Amino acid sequence: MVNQPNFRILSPNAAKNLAQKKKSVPGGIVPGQQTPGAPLTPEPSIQGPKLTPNRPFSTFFSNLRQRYAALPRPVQRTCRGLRILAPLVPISLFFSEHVMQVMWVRGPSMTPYLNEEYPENHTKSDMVLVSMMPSRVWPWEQTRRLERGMVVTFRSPANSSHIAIKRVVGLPGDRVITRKPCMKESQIVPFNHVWLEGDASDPDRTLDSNTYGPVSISLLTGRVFAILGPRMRWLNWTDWEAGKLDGVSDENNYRQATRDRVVKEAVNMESPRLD
Amino acid sequence: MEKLLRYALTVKPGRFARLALNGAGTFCACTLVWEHLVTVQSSEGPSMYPTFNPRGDWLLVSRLHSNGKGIKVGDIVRFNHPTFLGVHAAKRVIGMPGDFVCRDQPLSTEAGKQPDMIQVPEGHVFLVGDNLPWSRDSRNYGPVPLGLINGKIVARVWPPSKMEWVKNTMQPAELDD
Repeated sequence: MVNQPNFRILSPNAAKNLAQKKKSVPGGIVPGQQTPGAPLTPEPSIQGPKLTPNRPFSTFFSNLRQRYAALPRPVQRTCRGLRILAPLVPISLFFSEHVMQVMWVRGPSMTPYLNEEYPENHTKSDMVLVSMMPSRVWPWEQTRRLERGMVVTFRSPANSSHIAIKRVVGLPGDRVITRKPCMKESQIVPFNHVWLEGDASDPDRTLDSNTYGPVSISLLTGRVFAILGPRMRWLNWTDWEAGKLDGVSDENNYRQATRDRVVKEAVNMESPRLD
Repeated sequence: MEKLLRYALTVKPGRFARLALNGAGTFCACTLVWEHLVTVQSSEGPSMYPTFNPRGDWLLVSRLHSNGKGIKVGDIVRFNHPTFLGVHAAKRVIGMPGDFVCRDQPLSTEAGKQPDMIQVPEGHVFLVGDNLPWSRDSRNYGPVPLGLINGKIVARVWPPSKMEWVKNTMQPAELDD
């Protein structure tokens, strides 16, 4: 610390106040006397334009500002940094809730596609990127939101605190031939519902629409559009219809069998539309 | 106007960026509060008639109860309609998961006259409107998943003459042995 000369720069008013204070009797009440540290306001008796605008809360804010100025320098610097970072917290929360989100997939239900090594390694989980936007392209474009073959996330109808991930197999109006745990032979998917199934060929490994029936589209929260790890790739929903495998093993041609169980547009549905 | 433009030219771009960041942060914070804490919404329709006015009441919805957290029998909940996308509805909870409810005819006036009962499945609730003949509810479309519930109606805030907390009118029956 450099030795600084011990003086203050005073405004003319403050200098006059100080001079008056020195002249007067110590302890006596002096008109216009100001406590050190309080804002230096001009005396009311002085004629001329007002120097401080008469705003409500101005004393409160100037008080706060003075307290802030009295804080040590490093504290001031952290305060300034926090002030810049403060709006980023709600923005990031909003982004993860309405734009996209990273999720980890646990369990064997999507096994040949996600969690490829589940039979060997149960603890490994795939990282997927989920788009939380309600529409596929832009909100104003009238495209169908869902297609067969998309992988979606939704709140499980059996347990509302659990978010599940499955593949859309049937759209509204399709007739689906069900598989083992389901009690009905076939099911027509009603309005605003989709038929979701896991990719596992063993029906005991996946808890899906064959257990709890068609799932309401209102329950869907997001759509998986990329897989980040361990093997990074984009998820292209047209691969499901086209029968492309994209490096995924498919024993017994299970995906084709699943597609064959769906009768597309068995019921003509005019309204309500999907979008 | 010219003054304003001149002023805008003198302002540094850094301040504009700060202003935009603060504005976006405020907007996102307001949206998050609206979606996760509290919502004020007008309700319309005759399905909850004696409780709410069919011509429209402004209701205070607590979003802390979304996904069926802390819901009890007799609460009025707001939920995403299972068969119409983007439509919200408000009904009273009649049966929680595991409860047995009478399987009444849709839009019928009488309650509990049918001989058969169903058990509400795991993770679902049975919702019925207060105005039995004018309500499409679980009697039509069956038990509703808890994940569709997005709030509990706490109070009516408008009109001011009818401002009140919504009471849970369903009390446990006192049966004498």
